[in-house]
Amino acid sequence: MNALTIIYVYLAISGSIIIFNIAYAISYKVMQKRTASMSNRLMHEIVRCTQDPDNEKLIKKHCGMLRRRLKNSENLIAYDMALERLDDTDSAVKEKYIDNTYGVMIYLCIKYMHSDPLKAAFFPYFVKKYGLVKGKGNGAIIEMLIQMVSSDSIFSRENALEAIYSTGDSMKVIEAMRMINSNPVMHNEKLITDGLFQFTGDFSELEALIWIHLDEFKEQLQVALLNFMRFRSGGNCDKMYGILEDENRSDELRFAAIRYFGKYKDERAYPFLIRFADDIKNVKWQYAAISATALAAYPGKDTETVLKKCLTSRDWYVRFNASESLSRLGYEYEDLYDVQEGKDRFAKEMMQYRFDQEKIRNGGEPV
Amino acid sequence: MSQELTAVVGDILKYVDIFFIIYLIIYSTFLFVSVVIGSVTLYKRRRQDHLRNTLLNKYYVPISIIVPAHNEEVTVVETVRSLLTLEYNLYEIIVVDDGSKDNTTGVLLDAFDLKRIRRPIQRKVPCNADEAVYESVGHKVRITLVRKKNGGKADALNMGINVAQYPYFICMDADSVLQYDSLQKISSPVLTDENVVAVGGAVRPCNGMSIKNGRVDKYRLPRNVLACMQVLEYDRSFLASRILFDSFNGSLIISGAFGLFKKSTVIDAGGYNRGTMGEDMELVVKLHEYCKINNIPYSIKYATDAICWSQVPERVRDLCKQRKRWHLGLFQTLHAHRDMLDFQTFGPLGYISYMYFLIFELISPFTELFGLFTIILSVLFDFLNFPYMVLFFTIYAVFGSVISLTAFFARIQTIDLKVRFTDVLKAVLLCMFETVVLHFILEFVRAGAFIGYKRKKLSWGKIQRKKIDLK
Repeated sequence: MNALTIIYVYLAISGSIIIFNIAYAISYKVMQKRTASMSNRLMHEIVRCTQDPDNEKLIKKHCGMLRRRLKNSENLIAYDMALERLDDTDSAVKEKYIDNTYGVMIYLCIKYMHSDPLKAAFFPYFVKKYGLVKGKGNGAIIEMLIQMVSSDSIFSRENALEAIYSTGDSMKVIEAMRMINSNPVMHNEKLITDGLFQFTGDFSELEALIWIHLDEFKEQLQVALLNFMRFRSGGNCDKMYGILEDENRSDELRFAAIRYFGKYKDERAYPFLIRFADDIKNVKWQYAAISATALAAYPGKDTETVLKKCLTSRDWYVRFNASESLSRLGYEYEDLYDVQEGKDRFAKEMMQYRFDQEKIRNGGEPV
Repeated sequence: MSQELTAVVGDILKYVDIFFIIYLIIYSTFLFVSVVIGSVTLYKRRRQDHLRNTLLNKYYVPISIIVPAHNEEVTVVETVRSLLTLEYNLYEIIVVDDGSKDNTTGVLLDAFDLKRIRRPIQRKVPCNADEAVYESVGHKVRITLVRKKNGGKADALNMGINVAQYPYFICMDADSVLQYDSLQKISSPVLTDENVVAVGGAVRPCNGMSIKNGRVDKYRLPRNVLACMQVLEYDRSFLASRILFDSFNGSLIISGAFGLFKKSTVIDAGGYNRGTMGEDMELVVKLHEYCKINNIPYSIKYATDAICWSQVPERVRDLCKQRKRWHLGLFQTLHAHRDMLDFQTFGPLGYISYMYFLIFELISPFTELFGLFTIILSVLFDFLNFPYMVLFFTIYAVFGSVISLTAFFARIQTIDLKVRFTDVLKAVLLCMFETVVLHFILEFVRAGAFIGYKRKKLSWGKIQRKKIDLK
């Protein structure tokens, strides 16, 4: 092969790239137009059905058409666009339409579950958006969504979880958590903790079920669930106390419990918090640091003594958190005179910072 | 004698010819493969969005935004103001004034009502001492300003890390602006993969455009021709090498203008290297080395839709200064981490990523100069086939231009920017000029980067700044 041939090869490659660019731009525009046109046609059909919702023959024909068309994900997107425009319709009419087409959704769910993950992730999104599983109990779609929670695709998992949360069924959420638990790829803790807030059912019932099944789950999932309960409510003190006092529990779970009692005061937890913050030499620094923060909810002489001791800790985070707690408890310079005039430079610096912050909050100039 | 000399030169040039043919085939093939992979990846991601393969709800990863600044009084206030408009709930802003000689600190104190505070700083990574720390209340998020003794950008970034309270930090330039959703987009890989230790954002030149409430108000190619050519260059670079390297966890560079890092991993790896000009690349390479050697599962990603708008030089002098600094930084990094030539340990990171930067970035200016020299030699000894050479250069220019335009259109299409027809025409006309003229000028500049190297080792580099059009 001589150099000239190589040159012509690259000329051909250049030409191919130009054609690729033009072809993509054209195909994208064509696809957009096709989707819009399909959306209009579907809208027309939907309106016919909503105007005559008891016409069985019409509904059957409509469902047949949907089964054929919506296997294609682009058409499902067009259908989504059409349904969005139904938002102005009377909600009872819309609900009736969705009920009438529920069988189609079951059919599509099976199809999309076994399609490539990219397309599979769209279907749960669609299910959640139109409340297809709200109050549906043990519907077929819900069962399939639970299966989807074990997908390798994080987006399929996340969209399926959101759809399950929208059922308002606590037991289904627990089943979904079991699926996540059995998956070697762990779903991100934050997505679970924050995602659970989208649950549309009875939170107290959900929390009760979480406690019943907590020990079935891996530690990471347990922590995510405990964090959810911390952000949710203070009605779990008894159970959290059980975790706090149990030395056989993992550190991460006990940290979650300490944080819980930092938000929701419970006198039973107090001796533990004091012990963890005080016994800096014999416990892991995280116990001391997190307890130092939690003690801000427990004003008192013992708290003051322990937090002052924490100010002299060798660990930065223990000192940092202790100073913040003292500040939140309203301790001022005069109350901590012994620290500010003492020999520990690090303790003094840390508290000085808090005093300066307080001055700024009150509109003053610290320096 | 003369005949013998001619024969010897002829023989040498034959081998030189073969060398350059192989060199150009490899380079052109790499460019072609990477642009195709880049385009396909971008289109795939667009399809992902289309099919709702994204995190639809807002999840907030706590982030500290570190803005190192040196003589940035013109732009720093607007940069911080733009950060306050981000649609994100959990972040803080830390500006580190690295011993500015202008009024960088003053303009920030006035604009944001910052008050001096006695804040202890834990030195987790080495940096020069602080001179003063200021904080503010009453803004959407906490703003901290640290004024310190000049120590260079890496030193300023290390100070930012020491001050940061959140587990992730972003480094960005003081003349850059984020979009309203940039934090959301750049933190998304962290939520989808717990092993992510760093994420690079996409930096785009903002010269000549305006931003309103964190959204692009008017997008057009810069009026300045030099800036315009850099748009094409940035698009090509981000589309080509970055996405390709991202596909096998081989990214060796995250732009210093916009990158997200896991703080604990950066601290464990030693923070930014204060002895280098290319601190952004050096940190990423260091993270790779640290995680590989310590068998830590990790990944370094590139978020194509996390956009940061940054100013590019509009004067030739400034552009040359910038490129010299980048080239020196590249040399320092590759030299410091030459352990990556151990291909058994580092795998594709070594034999693809490292070798690419070594051969086609670091050594390429000298290779191309050598090529020019051999052309001159060929002319002198009457070996040159002019029609062939003209054809070769024409195809080379066309190929380079097509690659640039592919990258340009791929970026425009996939981030839904509306570009005027005149801008498209401008891009088409300038791409050839960029490939043939600007590229060679910059290769000369980069080749000359080592002159006076030791004197200017750690300077920030003075570049003319313009006010960013923010509404």
